[in-house]
Amino acid sequence: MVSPLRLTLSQRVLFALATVLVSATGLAVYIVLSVQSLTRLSVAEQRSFRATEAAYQLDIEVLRVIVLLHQYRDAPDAARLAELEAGRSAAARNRVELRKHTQMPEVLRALERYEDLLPRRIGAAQSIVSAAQAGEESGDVSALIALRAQLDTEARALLRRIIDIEQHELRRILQESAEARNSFRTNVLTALALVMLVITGMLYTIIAGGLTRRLAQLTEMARRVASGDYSKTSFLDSDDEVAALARTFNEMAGQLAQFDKVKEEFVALASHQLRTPATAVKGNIGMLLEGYCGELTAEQVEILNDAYESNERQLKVIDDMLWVARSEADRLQLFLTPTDLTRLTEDVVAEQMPVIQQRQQTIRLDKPAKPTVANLDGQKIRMVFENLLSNACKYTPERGQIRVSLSSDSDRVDLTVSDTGVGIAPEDRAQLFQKFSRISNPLSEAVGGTGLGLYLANEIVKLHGGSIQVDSSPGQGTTFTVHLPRDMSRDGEDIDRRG
Amino acid sequence: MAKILIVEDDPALRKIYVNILTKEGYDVTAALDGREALALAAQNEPDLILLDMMMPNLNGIEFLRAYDIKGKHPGVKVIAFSNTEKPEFVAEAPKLGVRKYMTKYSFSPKSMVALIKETLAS
Repeated sequence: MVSPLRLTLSQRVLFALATVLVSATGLAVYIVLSVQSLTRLSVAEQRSFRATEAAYQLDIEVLRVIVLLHQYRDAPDAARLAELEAGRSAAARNRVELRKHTQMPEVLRALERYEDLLPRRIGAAQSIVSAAQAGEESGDVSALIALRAQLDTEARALLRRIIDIEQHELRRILQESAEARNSFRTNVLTALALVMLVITGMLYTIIAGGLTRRLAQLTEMARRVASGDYSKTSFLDSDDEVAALARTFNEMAGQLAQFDKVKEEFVALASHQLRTPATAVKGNIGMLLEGYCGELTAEQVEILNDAYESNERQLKVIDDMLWVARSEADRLQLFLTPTDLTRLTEDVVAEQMPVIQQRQQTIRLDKPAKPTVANLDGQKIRMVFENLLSNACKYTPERGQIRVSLSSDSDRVDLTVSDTGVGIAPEDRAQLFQKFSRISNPLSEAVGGTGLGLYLANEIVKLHGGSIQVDSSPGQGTTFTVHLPRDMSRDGEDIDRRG
Repeated sequence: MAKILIVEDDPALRKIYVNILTKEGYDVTAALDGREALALAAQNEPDLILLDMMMPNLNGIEFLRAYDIKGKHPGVKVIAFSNTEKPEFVAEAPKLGVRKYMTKYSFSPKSMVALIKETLAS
């Protein structure tokens, strides 16, 4: 027998149906045969009943005849004679009934012996009737009466015997019949129960055993693919429709992984190709502005600055776009290394100084004296700080104040960037970390940017298992607090991650 | 003055770096891929290598493996820079002797020079 799991779904369903059909047919055959046998018993019951009845009736009629005969002797009249005749006819009819319905050979034999006696009894009766009619009371009549009485006794004994036998037989048949019916009822119920069990077993094997478990596996696979995990699963235990579906799914996951890989490669290539010329522009203009090619006129400086700034914006846009492309694929890989956040904060502030000075803003940096090391992706966290500080500068008017503070304990690191800028209205708060959100305010029109900075910053911080908190009200300035967990803390030298 | 080997495949960028560092007074040589870099470094051991990571023929990592700083040229300092942050490169670079890893597009000439001076002094 082929194991049910090796068959296809359709085959299994057919197999189940076939089993059910065979069971049902078996049950039907049993029922038909049982009904036939029960019917036979029923017929036997009927006959036995009739035979018993006939035997009883016969006995009653014979007794009546005997009594009538007595009475006629004492008072012969025509009515009694007629009754006598009627009684004899009735007895004869009952004998016929009995003979017809009895199923006992012994009864037939007794009946024969009874009928053997009959001529002599009738003869004696007739003589007694004649003597009574003639009014004779001789000794011959007495002898006849005595003979008749003796014959009657014999006859009645035979009849009683017949009654006993028929009664006994009736009881037996009724018993047998009742047992047969009970047994039939029990068997049918048991058989139905078994068929139900078989059906349930089949359904279970097909559905729970085969289908449900593997559909659950498939669903799990689908869920994984939906969340970006394209690793394959193997369904080696069957060769049916579900396995075919699983194979196709695996192929699809493979394709998706492939697309993802292609996208990753594109991102890597694009970042290189887009950034290189922009970096060259930056380098060249930087050389001029930093005096490597001699003095410049004020006008030249201004124009070069404008070009430099545009180029910086371009670089920033490229950065943001490429980061978003990666984020979408949900494959933002964190490259965790021990990072000195004290140093990082200093660097970021130092980089932002030219802008701060230009806007005549003041900045205060509170940081611990010694290195603050946490296990982070230094480059990405640097981006977050840069973004927050740059925003602080942009959204604070000239001569405003900015404060950056870094603190930590054994579990985490907190960086705060607060400003005395325009603030954020409560209704804008919800939108703050969404993609492309740009809150309209008097300063923001003059402010460049793609609207992606805070979105990316938030994504990065979340990926590290941290959070960004915002405290702000319009006109009162804004404070951003970044909480980051410290995975490990280590003293000593680490490789700088400058970006 | 210190000898600097610049390894950079993009001609525009290479020209800028050579220009700046020459003006700053360094003894500058330039290679346009890992293979040429190995040849030039063998001829004349530099004090510092400014190494681009993404190059044709022999990329930065492959050059480092071949050049074997830790084993054969312990006195040479390497600053690696790139415009992409390939995690594998960032991971392996320090093991091969790279002192600093920076992205090109966020460095102005002066800050790059400051970094080089700092590295040479360390």
